[in-house]
Amino acid sequence: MAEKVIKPNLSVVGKNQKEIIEIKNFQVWINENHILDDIQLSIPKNEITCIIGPSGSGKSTLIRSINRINDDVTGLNTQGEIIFNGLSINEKDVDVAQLRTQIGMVFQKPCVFPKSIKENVLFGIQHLKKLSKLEKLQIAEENLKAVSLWKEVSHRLNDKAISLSIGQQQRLCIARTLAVKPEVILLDEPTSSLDPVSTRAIEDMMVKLKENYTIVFVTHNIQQAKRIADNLVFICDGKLIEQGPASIIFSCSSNPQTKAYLRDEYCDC
Amino acid sequence: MNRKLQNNLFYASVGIAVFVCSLILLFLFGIIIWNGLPALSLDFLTNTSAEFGASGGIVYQIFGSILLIIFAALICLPIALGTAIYKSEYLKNDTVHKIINTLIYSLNGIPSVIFGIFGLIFFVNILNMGISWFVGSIILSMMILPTVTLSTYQSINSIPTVYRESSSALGLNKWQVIVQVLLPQGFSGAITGLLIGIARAIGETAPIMFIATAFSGVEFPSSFLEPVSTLPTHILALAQQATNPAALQNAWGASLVLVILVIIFSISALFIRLRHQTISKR
Amino acid sequence: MLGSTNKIGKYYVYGSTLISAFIVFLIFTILLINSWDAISIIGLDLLSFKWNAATGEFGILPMLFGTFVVTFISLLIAVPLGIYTAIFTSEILPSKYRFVVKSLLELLAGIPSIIFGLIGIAFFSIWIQDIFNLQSGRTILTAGILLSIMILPTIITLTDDAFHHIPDKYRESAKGLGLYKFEIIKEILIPIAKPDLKAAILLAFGRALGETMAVMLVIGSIDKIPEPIYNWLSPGQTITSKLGREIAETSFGSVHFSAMIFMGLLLFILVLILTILSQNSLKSSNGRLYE
Ligand SMILES: Nc1ncnc2c1ncn2[C@@H]1O[C@H](COP(=O)(O)OP(=O)(O)O)[C@@H](O)[C@H]1O
Ligand SMILES: [Mg+2]
Repeated sequence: MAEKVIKPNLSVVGKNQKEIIEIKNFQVWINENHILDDIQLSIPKNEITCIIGPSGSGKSTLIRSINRINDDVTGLNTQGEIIFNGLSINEKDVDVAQLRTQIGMVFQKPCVFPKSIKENVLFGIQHLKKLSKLEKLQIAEENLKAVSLWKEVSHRLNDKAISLSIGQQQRLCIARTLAVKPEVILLDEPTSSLDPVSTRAIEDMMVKLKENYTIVFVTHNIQQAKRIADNLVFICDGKLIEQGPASIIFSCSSNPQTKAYLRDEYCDC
Repeated sequence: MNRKLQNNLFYASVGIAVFVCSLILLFLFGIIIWNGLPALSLDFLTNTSAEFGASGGIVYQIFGSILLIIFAALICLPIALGTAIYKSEYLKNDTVHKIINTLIYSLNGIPSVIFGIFGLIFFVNILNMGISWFVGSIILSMMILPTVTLSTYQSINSIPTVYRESSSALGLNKWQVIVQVLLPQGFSGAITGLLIGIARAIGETAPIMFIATAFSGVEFPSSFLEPVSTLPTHILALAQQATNPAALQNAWGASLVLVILVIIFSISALFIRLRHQTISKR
Repeated sequence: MLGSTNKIGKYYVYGSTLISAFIVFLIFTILLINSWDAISIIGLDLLSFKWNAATGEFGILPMLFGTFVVTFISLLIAVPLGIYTAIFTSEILPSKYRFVVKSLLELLAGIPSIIFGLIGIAFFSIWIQDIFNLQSGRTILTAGILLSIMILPTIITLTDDAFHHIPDKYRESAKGLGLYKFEIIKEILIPIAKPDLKAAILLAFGRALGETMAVMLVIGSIDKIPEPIYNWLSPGQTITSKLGREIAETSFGSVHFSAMIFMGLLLFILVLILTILSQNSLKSSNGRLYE
C-alpha cells in the first residue's frame, strides 16, 4: 500500500529507478554471423538512454530487437530474454502489433506515408480506437505541438506530408509515434540525415518528452549523447562494453575501450 | 471487428489463394507430363505422321516449328539491333523517345490473331505470296520484335558512359564505338531477348494457322513459298478430333514436346542473363 | 572511308527504327482499308444481334458480348486470386524463394495457348458438362475459367513486382506504429502500388481480350447472345474465336470478309487503348515486357 503512494511522487521528480526494460543474456545471429553477444542491459523509466558505438557494432540490431521489428529479417536468430513491464516479449504468443503500440519506433530516415500531414499523425492511433472528427483534430494538434511542428503546419494540415522539409518530416514521424501513446520510444539515429537546426530541435524535444516517455536513443554522435543522455550504453563489435549514468561515464570512465572511443571516436575491439 | 481476427482472416484468404494457385500449377504440369509421356518415343519424334495425325510421329512438325522460328529470329535480329542502337545512342529527343516506346509497346500488345489476319491480307493476298512458311516467319518476327528490341536496348543503355567517352577519346568515331565497344557487350541482351521471343513464338498458333501451315500432305519445303506443318497447328488439328483417342494421345505427345522446347529456350535465356549479370558485376 | 561507315550505320539504325515504328501503322491501315466495305455497305447494321453470312446479315453484337463476358469472368477470378497470391509471394514468403516462384510463374506463362485449349477440351469442358448436367460443356463460362488461368501468371508476376518495388521503410514505419500486416498491406502498400496494379490489370485485360486458341476451342462457337443474357452456361462466340474459326474460309474481298476484319479492327483498337493506358500507369515503364 505504502509503495503505491510513493511511486507517483518519485516519477514526478523523475528519479524513479524502476527499470521498464530488462535485457538478459541477449544474443543475435544473422545467418552464421554472431551480431550481438550476451547483452545485459536495463533501461530505466522516464529517462533518456543513449546507445553509442561505431557503425556496424550492432546498435540498430539491438534497438530493433526491443520491439521485435527485426522479426522479418531472413536468417535472424535470437537467444536470451527481453523483459518489458515484467513480460518476456520473445515468447511465441506475444502479439507483436500490440507490443509495438507500447514500444514505438522512429527510424533513421524519415518515412512519411503518401497521405496528408493530418492523416500521417493519425495513421497509427486510428487503428486502435474510433475517433470523432473533433478528437482527430485534437490529437493532431496535441502531438504536432509536442514536436513543435504545429506553428509551421497548422494552416496546411491537409497538404501532402511529402511537401515538408526532411527535418519537418522527421518531427512528423515522431508526432505520429507519440499519437499512439507508447510507453517507450525507440529512436535509431533519428538526426543523422538532418541539418543542425532540426537536429537541435529534436534534441530539445527529447529532453521535454522524457517526462512522459522512456526514450532509447541510438546515435554515433558522441557530442549528441553528451547533450541529452541520462544513461549511456556503449556497444562495440556486438558486445556491451559499458553502461551507466552518462555523467559518470563521460567524466570518469575507468574502461580503457570506452575512454579511447569517447576521445577518438575509434575503438579496436 | 477485432483487428487480430481480421488479420487472421486475411492470412486465411491468402492461404486459400496460394493453395488454389499451387493446385492449378500442379494440375497443368501434371496433366501435360502424365498424358504426354506415354506418347513419347523415338519413333514418335522421328516418324512422319499418318492417318491425319492419329498415328505416326511428328518429325515434320518439329522441323516446321524450328524452321519458322529460326527465320523469324534472323529477320528480327537486325531490325531490333538497329532500333535499340538508335534508341540508346542516337535519339536525344524525349518526346520522340516516348512515341517510339509507345509504338513498340503497342506492337507487343497486339493480339496474335490480328497478326494472323494482317498476314493473310497483306502477304498472302495483296503481295500474293500464298500460304507459305516464310510469311509465317515474317509475321512471327514482327511479334517478337518488341521483346528483342527492348532487351537489347536495356543492355546497351546500361553500359556506363565512361566506355563511350574513353573510346571516343581514342579517336573512334561514333559507329566504331558502337560496333567495337557497345555491340559486343549489348549482344547478350539481344540473344536473351531473342530466346525469350522464340520461346513465345514457337507456341503461337493463331498468327500462323491461316498463312503458313497446312495440315496434311506436307513434306520438307523445297522453296520459301510452301506451307509447312508445325507443332501448335498439329495439336490444333488433333484437338479438333478429340473423340478419337489415338489422335488425342498424339496431341498430348506433341504438347509435351512443344512445352519442352519452350522450356529449353526460356532456360537458355535465363542462363545467358544470369551469366552476363555475374560477368558485369566483376 | 571511316566517315562512310559512320553514315551507313546511321542510315541502318534510322531505317530499322522506321520499320519498327511503321508496323503498327501498317497493320492499322490494312485493317481499316479492308473493313471499309463493311462500314460503308453494312453501316449501322453491324451493331445488330444477328450474324448470318448466307442472308447477308452481319451483326457483331453477339461476338462483342461474348468477348466482354468471357474477359469479365476471367478477370473476376484471376484478379483477386492473383493479387492475394502475389501478396503471399512478396510479403510473406522469404525472399530467398522468390527466384523459384518467379521461375514457376514464367513456366506457367510459357505454356502455349493451344495447349490450354487442349486441356480445356479434354478436362474443363467435360467437368462443366458433368457438374451442370449440360449437353455440351463448351460454354462461355468454360472459356472464362480457362482464360482466367491463362492471365493469372501475368497478374501475379506484375503485382509481385509492384509490391517488391516498395521500399521496406514504409513497412517498418507502419509496423513501428503497431499495425497488423493486413492493415499495412491495405493502407500503405496497396495505395502506393496502385498505379502498377492498375497497369497489371489493364495488361491482363488486353491479353484476355485478344486470346484466341484456347477460347476458340472451348466456347462452343454459336453466334448468339444467350437467353437469358446471364446464362453463361450456354455456348457463345468471341471476336477472336470467330476470326479463328471463319476467316480462312471466307473469300478475300467479300463483304463477309470485310465484316470479319471490322471486328478485328475493333479488337485492335480496344487492345491498343488498354496497352497505352497500362503503360501510362506504370511508373517505370522499361523492362516490363519480358520479366
Ligand atoms: N539483414 C542483415 N543481414 C546480414 N547482416 C546484417 C544485417 N543487418 C545487419 N547486419 C550486420 O550486423 C552488424 C550490425 O549491424 P547494425 O546493427 O546495423 O549496426 P549499427 O546500427 O551499429 O551500425 C553489421 O556487421 C551488419 O553487417
Ligand atoms: Mg544503425
